[in-house]
Amino acid sequence: MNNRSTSTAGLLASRRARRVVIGVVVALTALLGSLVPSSLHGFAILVVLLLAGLDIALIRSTDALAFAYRRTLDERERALRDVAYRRGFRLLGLAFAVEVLILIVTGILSYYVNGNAHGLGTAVVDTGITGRALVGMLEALLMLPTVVIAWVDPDQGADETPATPRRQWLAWLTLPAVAVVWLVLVAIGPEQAAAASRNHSSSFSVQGATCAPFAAGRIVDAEFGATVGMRVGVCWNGHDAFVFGDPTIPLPPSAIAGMGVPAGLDIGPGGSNVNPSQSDITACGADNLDDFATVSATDCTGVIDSGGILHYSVHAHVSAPLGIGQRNVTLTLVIDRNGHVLERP
Amino acid sequence: MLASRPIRRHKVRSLLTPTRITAAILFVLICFGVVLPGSTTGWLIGAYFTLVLVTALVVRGVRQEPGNWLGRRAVRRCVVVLLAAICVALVATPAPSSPSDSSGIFILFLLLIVFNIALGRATQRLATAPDAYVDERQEAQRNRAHLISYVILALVVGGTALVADTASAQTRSWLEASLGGGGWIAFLELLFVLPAMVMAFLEPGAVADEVDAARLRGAGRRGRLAGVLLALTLAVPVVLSLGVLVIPLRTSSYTTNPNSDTPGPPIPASAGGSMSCREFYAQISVGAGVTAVINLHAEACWDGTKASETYGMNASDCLPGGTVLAVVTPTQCQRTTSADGTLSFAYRSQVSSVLLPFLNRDVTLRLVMDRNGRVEQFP
Repeated sequence: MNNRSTSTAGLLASRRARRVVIGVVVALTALLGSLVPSSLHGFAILVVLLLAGLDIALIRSTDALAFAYRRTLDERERALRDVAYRRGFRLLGLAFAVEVLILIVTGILSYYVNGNAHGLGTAVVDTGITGRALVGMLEALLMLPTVVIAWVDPDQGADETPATPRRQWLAWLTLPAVAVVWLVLVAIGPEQAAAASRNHSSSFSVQGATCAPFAAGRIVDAEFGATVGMRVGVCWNGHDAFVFGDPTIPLPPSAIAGMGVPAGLDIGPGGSNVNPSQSDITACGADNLDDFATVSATDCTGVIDSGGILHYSVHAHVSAPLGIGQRNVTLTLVIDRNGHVLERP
Repeated sequence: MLASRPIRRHKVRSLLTPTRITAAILFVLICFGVVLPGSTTGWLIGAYFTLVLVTALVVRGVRQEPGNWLGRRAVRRCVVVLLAAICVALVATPAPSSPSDSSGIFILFLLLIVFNIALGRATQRLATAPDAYVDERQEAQRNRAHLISYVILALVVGGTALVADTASAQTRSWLEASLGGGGWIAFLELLFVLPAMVMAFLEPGAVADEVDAARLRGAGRRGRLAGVLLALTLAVPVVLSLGVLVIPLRTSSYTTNPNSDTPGPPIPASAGGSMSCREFYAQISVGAGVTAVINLHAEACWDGTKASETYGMNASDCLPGGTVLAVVTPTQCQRTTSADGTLSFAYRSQVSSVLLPFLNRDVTLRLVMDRNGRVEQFP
């Protein structure tokens, strides 16, 4: 018997304790992979750190058997490790299938409870796989063999030799390393453009004008920060370009005239009575994602200049927990009165 | 009675393997995805998918010697390389924007079925065989294959997702398009078949040279059934595609008075030359299973001197009504009025199947009405 042992000195020596930890790891992974809650409001990094801590504990408890060099293992360990990978491979398929189910169920829940747009392919901004889901997927890929070993390995006796203490202690350095990498990313990570989703094909019409939906976004810190989204329906009539579907942005007189509103009808300030709120067309902040960093003070403005050109802007403030890596994000869309896009985010 | 409980429990446990549960969940998800939209098409695709699944299960249960040819390492490696190439092609194929674009994915999917069967025979499906059927050496072989497969899968799937998701808007867009197209088929292929591919590639000799006699028992009868199902699975799309060419066209048509919804014969122009109008509805269905529907909904009027179109006979109206694995290409969409005031409209199109795009059938939908509202041809 070599000195590598699958025993764990201390808390996770018993199989029952390891199985409890595995239960927590699975629950946290499912939380990251789900759409409920729809936002973790910047605290996803805490979930990730907790998960990383539990992972390290499990890896320690199995003496990193899943990641050990083959030649350092004896026959029994090799057999256990190989079986763990075989079962892990099969469980990986199951994990992905269950993840799809979780996405569907929580997507329905999220869509009908909070009207959240990110579930069920209803997002209009292509934000890719969200950072939290990506972490959940990588967690499954990295940890399943270790989880299997920790699950099946029997209770260890006190006589078994623990692994080298120094190396075990070093493993805990992973936690601050993850935190530092994330902080660096938040502080200096570049912003990326996000295009409209391929699923985004909604169309709408306004009498006397030609209309089109526009969607775009800006991803801060490559999926591990936040996303500021823009969703706006713009119409143009040869005289003005204007925003439709948001009564807080007034319609120009040319748009109201083009609608053929009967004389004497109260159209409200800025035509708000003939321009009701339609969040599937125009919505301020509906496409923000803030799991690892918070998005606050989202403000959407639409200004039509004297040439009939619409300047639509979305301003938002992005910051990680404790005010780390604060920055302002602005998305601007400029469209002239004939529908030509002069500037897009 | 009491003694049977553990046996039953053991049986249930041995039936509920992760692979089977995964396959069941995916089957339900895919069926819900295609069947729930509620169309006949969805049910047909669901039925075909069920046939594919049943065939896979039956073929999986058949144990046959790989034979000299498939037993060779070089041949096995060729099969693996081809499977990998198909997976790459599937990942590179974005979601089809129209039925005509889906032919690539469909053909790749059929090729995948064929090569998977070859791989299964070459490896005796050792990678997924129950523990009772494998000896110690084979157990070690497949465990090693799973370890290597796990690393490959983690690097390929995890690496691709991480890089594509974080690199740029273009890579995210590619990821979204790929997952909407052939990417998910390639992913499922890796998930279910990668260990067998690794075994076939790495093992120097025959992967399973000593096949358990018990596994060969009944192989003949089950093998024949598997052969029939396999032939059926591969033949159904081809036969249905040929049906586009040979099955008689199914035509339905009627006309109505624009002011009432009840079908009836055309009303002749009233005396004095005042305008009268009729609405025309026609539908031609081509093929069965692999189908295309061509519609016409138009209105024409006449006043005793001339017949004219009101709507539905313009270039923008020559559109297919609906297709399933078929493509409709309009070749003629023409409306003319002759000197004697007769209105003629012809919508001619070529219908071909996605699987056999080089074979097509001309379908013409025609309406001819004279200046007195007499319908000379419809459709």
